[in-house]
Amino acid sequence: MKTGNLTHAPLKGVDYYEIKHQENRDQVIFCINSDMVSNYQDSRAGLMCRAYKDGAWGLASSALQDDATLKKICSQAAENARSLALYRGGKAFVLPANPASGEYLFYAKEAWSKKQRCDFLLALDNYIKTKYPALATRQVGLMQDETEKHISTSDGAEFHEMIPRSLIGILMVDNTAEGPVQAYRTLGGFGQIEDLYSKPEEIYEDIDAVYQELMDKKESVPSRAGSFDCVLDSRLAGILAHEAIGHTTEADFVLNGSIAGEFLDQEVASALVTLVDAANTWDGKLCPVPVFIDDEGTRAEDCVIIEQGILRRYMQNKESAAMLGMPLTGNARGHEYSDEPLIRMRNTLILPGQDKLADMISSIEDGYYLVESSNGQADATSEFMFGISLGYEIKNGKLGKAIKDTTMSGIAFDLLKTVSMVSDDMFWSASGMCGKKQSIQVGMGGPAIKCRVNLGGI
Amino acid sequence: MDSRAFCKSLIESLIQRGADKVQINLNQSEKTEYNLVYKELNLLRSMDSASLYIMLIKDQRQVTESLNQLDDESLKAVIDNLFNALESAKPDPAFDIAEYQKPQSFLDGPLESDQDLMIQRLQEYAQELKTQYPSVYFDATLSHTHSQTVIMNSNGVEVLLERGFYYFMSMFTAKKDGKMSSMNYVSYEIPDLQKSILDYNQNRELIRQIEEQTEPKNIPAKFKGDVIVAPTILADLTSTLLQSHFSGYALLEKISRFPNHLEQKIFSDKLTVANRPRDPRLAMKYFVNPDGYVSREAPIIEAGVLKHYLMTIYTANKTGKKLSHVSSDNLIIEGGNHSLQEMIQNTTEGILCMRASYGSPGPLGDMSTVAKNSYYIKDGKVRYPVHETMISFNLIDAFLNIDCFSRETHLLGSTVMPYLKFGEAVISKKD
Repeated sequence: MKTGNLTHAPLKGVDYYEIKHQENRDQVIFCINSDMVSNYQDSRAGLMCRAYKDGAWGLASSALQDDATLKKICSQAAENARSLALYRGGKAFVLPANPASGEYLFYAKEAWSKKQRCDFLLALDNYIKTKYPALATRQVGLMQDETEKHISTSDGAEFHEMIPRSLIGILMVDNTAEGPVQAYRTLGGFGQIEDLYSKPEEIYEDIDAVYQELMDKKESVPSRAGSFDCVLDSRLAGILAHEAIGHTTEADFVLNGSIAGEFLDQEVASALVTLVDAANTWDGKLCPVPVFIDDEGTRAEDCVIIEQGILRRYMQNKESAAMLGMPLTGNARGHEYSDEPLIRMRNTLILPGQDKLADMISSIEDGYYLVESSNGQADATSEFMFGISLGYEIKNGKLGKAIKDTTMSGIAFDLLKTVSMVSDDMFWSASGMCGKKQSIQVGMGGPAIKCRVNLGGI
Repeated sequence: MDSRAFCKSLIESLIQRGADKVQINLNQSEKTEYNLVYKELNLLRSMDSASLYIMLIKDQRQVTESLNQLDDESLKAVIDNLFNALESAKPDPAFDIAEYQKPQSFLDGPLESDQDLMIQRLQEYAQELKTQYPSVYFDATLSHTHSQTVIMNSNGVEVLLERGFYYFMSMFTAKKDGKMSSMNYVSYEIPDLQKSILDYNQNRELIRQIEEQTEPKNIPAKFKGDVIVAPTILADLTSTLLQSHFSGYALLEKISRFPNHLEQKIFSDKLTVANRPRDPRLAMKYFVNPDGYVSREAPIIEAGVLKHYLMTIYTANKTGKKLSHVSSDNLIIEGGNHSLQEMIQNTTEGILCMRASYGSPGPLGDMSTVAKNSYYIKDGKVRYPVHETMISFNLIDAFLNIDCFSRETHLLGSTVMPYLKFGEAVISKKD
């Protein structure tokens, strides 16, 4: 993306504005049974200006990227804010600022050619085909997204960033007497594919694990409907942190009545639970979706949401921080060039504890070990739902048969009070896309957790 | 810009450069969007955008790329990129483009927005909720989009589509004395702004319901019973069923349980699902499928019998199935013979499920959903709103064991759906 001068034409007569120049680039290569069914690239670039005047926001955007268009959209954004303010009945706020500047560009040192990427994927396909020839279907995919943005704000922030994410998807299908079953896994995370892998062999262990899970699912039994003591694997902890708790503590949800609005500085979880929305770095390493400065130019800081069971903070943008009189956190993000920044989680995690996964499983007489989630949904009440695509029975402290696809649910703030063990390991899920008006990349992570869970079933 | 001339010239230049076959889709749009945030008008967005999709085939290798920059420099870069990408693409005889059809054009919906009326409708909505339902928290979006689309290929396909439509979305929840309901939402394209937004479908009823959902209860005990699902849920379940078992990719991936079942009875004879892109009730009509073929009006399932698989050119060539030009973009299930009230009266024990929160079912169809904004039914009467209630059933069996569809239907932008009642679901609660 060619970056230009975004500050050459200051916008007069508004209380605040930001200008964004952004490009999103995606690449997808996808094979089914060695057939390359998708070999696709996409780029979407443009300019956006958002202005604030007397409590109303105006936004204008265009795919054109010249100076004349920049002037036009700035003028249109200001006019939109001014005209909407005439109809508005609500209060106007002085927007707080914690402006930052910087450059955060993460390009691979030596980018692979398209052919190298295709060959990498076909090598994975060939490994599965050769080692597991009886499978009904095998799929491998490579998905890479890059988000490059240059933002300037009227309160003094300016930054340029390029954040890449690369994922490898593996899916296998086999037949049973009842019909087909499938197992899958998504690997990868922050960085370009060349940053994450150097040769296909590095993925073979995960491929073998997916195959084993598929064989387990061929023998699966239905789960029983009801409430059970369960161990949620670390692969599930992230979605619990994000969906079940995280959304309720976004300040726009709080302003719209979220139940978390009633609980600030109160005990909402077992003292074993500390939940953080990390801005960019955790435990000395970059998170799956690092955010250094948010789309309102605010310096991004870690937000400790629950500290040893006590609800401490909400995630904020400028407007919510002004309305609630709380500090900024740097959670305002928009996905595409034309998108307004919304309060979005970044890298939401539950911190690891002291327990061993094996001890957690052996402590359960009759329950389930839930491993992989297909999706999740949240509610302002903190009632949540996760699709469970991989799980096992636990009987007398030992793992039993795999269970068929099911759903787990509960009231998150109730569930977190039942947490009795937290493992000492940690898993980051980097493939998440959170859908809240706009779909955006998020990181989610955590350890294994023992708690009481509602399950669907027979 | 003359979009038609632009596409034609681009196809010619790609063929001259050596492509065997080319397809181009160009879309240009303007959108105006008003947003109510925290119950007040808060944001006005004005957006111009473009999207150019290029697909080319050479020596049976296929590559595709999309971009939104239409200047010469960007086009040259993307064309170079496409021809470079061909070198790494795998040849496949199944790649192809649509055959020649007579050029067609479609014009639909309000092409120009009435911005004064948009503001008026949103203000009415906010005012009515604030005065009549004071415990309700809400956000809302009302937008108008005008778009022009050109689909052309090197076989002479030429389809022009110009349309305008309004779209409304609102999320809402209620809170009384520190107790709150689950959130609910409405989201669909609407044909015009001739009436109050609360008068579309069941909007007013959903707002009324949310106020009484702040104190939900558990069901008395786990039971096996009936489920009545709202039209929005039926639309989603139907789409999931069709994509999971009758789409070209479901056949290609071998996850369909019905891979060779054309003209066979699979579901209840009460089930007829059709694709009707020209239905005048619809606010969003998908006249053309992504391959460039004009979408056909036809039943997909008729009286429980499978009439068409949903094939693309590629999946049809790959599987040997017939390319029927039937898609699932404009699904219609017509109303039945019973009112919703009669369906409830005829239920001994069950759930009136107004929103469902679930994960995509696996190929076997087993699924569980959390019943949101939903009600317990006992002895023919709606008793109370429920929470922490799970409904477990098999998606395929649900369409096999249909009890009835409601007489009432809802227009959900691109689909028309009634309420559905089916039996044999396991309904459980938190212990």
